[in-house]
Amino acid sequence: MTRFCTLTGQESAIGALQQAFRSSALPGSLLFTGAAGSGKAALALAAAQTAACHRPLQQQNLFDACGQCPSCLLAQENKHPEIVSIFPAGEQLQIWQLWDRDNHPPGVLSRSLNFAPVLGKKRVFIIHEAERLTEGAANSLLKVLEEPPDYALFILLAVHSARILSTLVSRCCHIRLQPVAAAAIQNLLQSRFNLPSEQAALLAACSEGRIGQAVRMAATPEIGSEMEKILDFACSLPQAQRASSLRIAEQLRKLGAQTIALAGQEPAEATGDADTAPRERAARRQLAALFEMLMTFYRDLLALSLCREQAVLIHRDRAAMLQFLASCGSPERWSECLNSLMLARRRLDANAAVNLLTESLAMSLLRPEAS
Amino acid sequence: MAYIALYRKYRSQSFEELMGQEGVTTTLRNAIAAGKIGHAYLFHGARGCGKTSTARLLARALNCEKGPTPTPCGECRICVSIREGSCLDVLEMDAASETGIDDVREKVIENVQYVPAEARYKVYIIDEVHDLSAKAFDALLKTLEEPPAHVVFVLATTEYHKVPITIRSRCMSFQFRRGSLHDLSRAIERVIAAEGSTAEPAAIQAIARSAEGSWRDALSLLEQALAYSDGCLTEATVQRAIGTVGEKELEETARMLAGSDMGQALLIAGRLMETGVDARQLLASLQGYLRDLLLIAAGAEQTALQELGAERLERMKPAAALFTPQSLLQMGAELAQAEREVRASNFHRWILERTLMRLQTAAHPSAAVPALPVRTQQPELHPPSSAARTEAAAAAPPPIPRPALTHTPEDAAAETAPAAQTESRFAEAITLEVLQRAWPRVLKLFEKASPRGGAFLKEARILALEKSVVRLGFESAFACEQINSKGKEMVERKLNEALQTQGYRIRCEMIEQNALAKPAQTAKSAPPPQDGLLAEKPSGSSAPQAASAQDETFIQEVINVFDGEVVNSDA
Repeated sequence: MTRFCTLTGQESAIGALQQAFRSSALPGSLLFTGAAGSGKAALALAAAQTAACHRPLQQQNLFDACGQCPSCLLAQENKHPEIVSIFPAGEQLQIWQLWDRDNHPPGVLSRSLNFAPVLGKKRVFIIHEAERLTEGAANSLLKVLEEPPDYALFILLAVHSARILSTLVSRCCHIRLQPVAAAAIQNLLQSRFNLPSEQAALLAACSEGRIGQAVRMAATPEIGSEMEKILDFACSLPQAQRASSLRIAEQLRKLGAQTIALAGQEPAEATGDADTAPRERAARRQLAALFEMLMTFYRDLLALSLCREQAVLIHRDRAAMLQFLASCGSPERWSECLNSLMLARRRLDANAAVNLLTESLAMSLLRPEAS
Repeated sequence: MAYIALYRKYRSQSFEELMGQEGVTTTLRNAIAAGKIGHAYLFHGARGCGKTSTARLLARALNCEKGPTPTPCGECRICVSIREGSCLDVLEMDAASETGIDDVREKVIENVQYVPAEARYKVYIIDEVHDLSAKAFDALLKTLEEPPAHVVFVLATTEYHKVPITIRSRCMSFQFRRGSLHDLSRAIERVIAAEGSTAEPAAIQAIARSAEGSWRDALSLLEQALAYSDGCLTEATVQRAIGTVGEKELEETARMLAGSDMGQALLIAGRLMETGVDARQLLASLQGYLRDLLLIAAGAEQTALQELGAERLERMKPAAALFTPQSLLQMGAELAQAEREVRASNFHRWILERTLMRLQTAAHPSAAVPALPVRTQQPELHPPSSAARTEAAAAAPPPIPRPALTHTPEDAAAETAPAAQTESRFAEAITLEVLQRAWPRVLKLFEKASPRGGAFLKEARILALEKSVVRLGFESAFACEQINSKGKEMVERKLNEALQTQGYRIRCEMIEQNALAKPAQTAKSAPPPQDGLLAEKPSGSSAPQAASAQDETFIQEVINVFDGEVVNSDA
């Protein structure tokens, strides 16, 4: 687990939490929202450890767990019995995970909510991916979140508050994890990973302010080469003939299968036939990462053809090449390409057949025959 | 003493404190004063409007040692124990985590018979009652209808529609309203004063606006904002805590949208993203800002003044003058669409850029889309219905000649049948063309089920598709009669099977000999001709042509029936 002092980025959220701790004004239910990879879980663990710590460090502007008491030691090893993380079981977080229900394992809250903590100062429940709470489960939290016992702290983590029940949101103290400014991410990457400034800027732009994502991308060296490969491929697209669209689709699929580090996962192993579903899901995630990369490329083309020299590019290292390519088509064409990429991305999530999807995408990306 | 969230700390402790719910509190207080206490109340309304608080107040009012009184003292033993949640006779049940019939039985039904231990009434507060299971609701019915005299039920929920009607009819229902901006700001001011801090009026206004009429939201938001602030609460702090985008940026964006430089849209989006603004928040803030502009642009001066305050109204007026209400409405629709996209996707930068570009197009409606006619400016010449009809007639191709019909008795029934659009998911996709393509399959299916009927159905041709009714024309009265009397249901079933729809019906009609074939082709994609616009029958075509055409169709039919081919033609 982590302490506040080990976290980077999200200063304002950390500051707000520390101030709440300092003035001992921490409400019993918190909601952290932020995009995936923005550091919600790390922040929640830090807050949990600090809340449970008996002898927190307290200085001028700082409030943090001591890191030495039994509670902290357990927390740092992720073994604290009174800091419970609740994850969705499968696709959803079911009500039986919270409260005892017949024919199910005992619920976390039924088991422990009514007992004061022994080791730490607070009993902490961290509910991950709160947007996946079933309606029943979310409703069952209403009363406890409104009036939790003195010793309890609930932390809900979600991508966005609009995705969870408004009645839940209104009961929690809502802390937003803002996207980190691109410049800050770039600085961090440059100083921590010694990246050249151009690559750091590229990663910062691709991570869209999600600092966790940026760090992950920087920490995996394969990502650089994968992105190069995708961009090389992308650069060939604007001038390819329509007739080759099926071949391009084939290449898209192959490239998707090679996009492993960018999609943020272990390579899909060739296990037995028994579990094809996870492999299928992984393949889709890889294609999604590929599409998003292509979007950055076309977005640059659009920006260039609209704003010329003033354009702020994501792929600054290829500016000259992009400039040339952008002049081959109209802004309408690039924006059309982006639309079809978005559509393909959505269809990917909706389980469209990959072969057909890539083929129709390739056809709409390639140059119309007439012009 | 552990820290308690503001909205708990400042829960209303008397009916007077309860803001904005005068309708409810007056009724309740009068009822208590008159001694006419109902046995079951159902409180419903949006989140954070004071339902649970009122329920607890009611419990105190009924049980206060100083008699059932509309002004509970808050100091006697019972009032204190109710406030602390330790009173034996006020049972608060969380219906959302105890949803089952066993919970209800154990907690409520088996317990109501016992008289209260210390207080006057036993009050059961069942919160989030909408989440009880259907069985649990049913188990409550009898008890709820006729509880012992010492029992009062208070049910509270945010989702009134989920409470069964049988429960609703046994309770006195009270709807709790959302608070106005004014009410909310007053509540926030009060809490800030009680907490001993200070705040800018603009900051209070910003919080009240984000709370969407919920008192609890207002106090939660205030709590967040206080966590980010040191000392005086400023508008900037509130923006940082709540994540809204500043008015200055919004105004700048709006000015850009009113211009026509697309590159500018990209630059602004880029700049906003670089500074770490959440795309979703930005879109939401922009939506709110445009809505305010719409208020001004549409001329709702009074409402705008109330909501925005005089100073802000003056500041926003120039920006509002840049747009027409129509373009603002359209931009709102674009933003709503973008918000949906942002939820589904990760590539926020591009969505933001594209949305801004689209908004720019929407801001200049004259270029792309003709502006909607403004009602007040154009005095209406026709009543709306006739105007619509003439418009439709102008847009549609000229009315098609239609064969003279012999109406069947089913006409009326078919017309009153529910429109298929509501019943079937595919209704919109079915056009006459689709129908015509599917017709052979209908025939085949029908023939399989009834070979004899199939021969009759073969004579039918599709005349038109009117909503969910397919008009079939027959030349022979016998076939028409047969299908109509015996096969109608079966044809409809097969038709729906072939089209994969529900609710499509047929209507059998006679057509006269000389008006064949033609209508079926020309009717394609034409709207159903309206009765008022019916043209006369076409004058008959020249005789020899008609004869040869008839020969053709006859030969075709022979081929169809006997499944043969033409070997030698002597004609």
